[in-house]
Amino acid sequence: MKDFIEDNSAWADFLISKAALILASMIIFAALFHLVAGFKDLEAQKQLDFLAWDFKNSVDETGARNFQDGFPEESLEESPDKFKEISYCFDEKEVFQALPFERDVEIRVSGEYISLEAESDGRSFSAVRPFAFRILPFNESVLQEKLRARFGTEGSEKTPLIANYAEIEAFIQVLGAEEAVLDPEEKISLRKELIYVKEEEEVSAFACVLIYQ
Amino acid sequence: MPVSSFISNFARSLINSMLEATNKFVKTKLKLMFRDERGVLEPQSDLLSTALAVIGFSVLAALMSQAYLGYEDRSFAMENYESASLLADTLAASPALKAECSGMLSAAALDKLSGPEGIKEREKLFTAFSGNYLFLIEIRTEDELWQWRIEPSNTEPDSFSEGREKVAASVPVVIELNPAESVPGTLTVVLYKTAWK
Repeated sequence: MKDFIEDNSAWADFLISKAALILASMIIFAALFHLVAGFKDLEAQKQLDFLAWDFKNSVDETGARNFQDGFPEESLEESPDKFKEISYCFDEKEVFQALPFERDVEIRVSGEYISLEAESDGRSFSAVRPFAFRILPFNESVLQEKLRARFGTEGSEKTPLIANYAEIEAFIQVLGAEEAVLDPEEKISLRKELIYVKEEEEVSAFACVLIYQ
Repeated sequence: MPVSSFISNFARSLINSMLEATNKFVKTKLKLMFRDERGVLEPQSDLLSTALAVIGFSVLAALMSQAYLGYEDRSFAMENYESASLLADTLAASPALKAECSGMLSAAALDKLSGPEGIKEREKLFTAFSGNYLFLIEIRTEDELWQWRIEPSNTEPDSFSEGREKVAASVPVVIELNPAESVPGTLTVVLYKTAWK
């Protein structure tokens, strides 16, 4: 003990400091590698976010096109081309092709949101964006069938729905809660549809966007 | 005169002696440090450099997280601004807000939509929009003499409280006050933050 205390060669200090240095270096390098790996995850997440945002934008633009509200006469005069459907395909997007998930992305759409989910190296990624307009995840004939089953008419200009707006809105909201799974390799149709309502002898219409494959 | 020269001489000699003492002290210490073979300095310098590296890395990580958080905030604002702008453009073109013949925004229609008797009209106007976006419409003339505020009817009382986070976008419009008078103004869509966003 006396020798140890009187030993001035500082070998213990030297060894301890070197061990601390090695430990600190290991921690710093591990943190750096973790940071780089984190950036890759972050990039994948941002790509998914961008795709969800891009699809939401296309849907909202379809909804904003020829916005009609309560003026069925004007819409009747307009050519059907103005309400023609537009198509969107995830597989044609460069960002989708560059995704690190080997195109194994689950795309789900409902009346409320678009959701993209994927997994990579045991980590799950997801991006959700809500829509600004009223959306229904099925085609025109399914919509007409559901409206006929509930209100007795299909909501076209010739056979408008006879009900109040609150009732129709609540029904549409329930319909919109259904989820549809979309195939990223197939084209997705976005079609703006007018639903006509007859309330106290007055016929008006409101629009919703149909999303289907 | 002799007193002042005495004081200046005294001060000079005092400063000189202090400088000399400091110099001697530093030299002695340096000499001691360089000749010290006990290995005190070396391990401390290692620790110091390690500590500096760790501090540097922590500062870098903090700066990066700060930058990322800033980017997140801005991208949230940008995305919602785009939605607010789209809604503002769409509503400015909505026939429900317009005068039948002129195509300008009608003060009469705005009176009805913003008043208590316009519940049905408001319901029709907001039916085309998803409930995900909680927004209200403000229309005001440029001279701010007239302004209207249209809120959806089926919202909670504190939905549009001042403290909530919001993003707004405006578009220029022309408001027809009466068939003989039209004034410029703005239509603003104020989008409030909900649990979605």
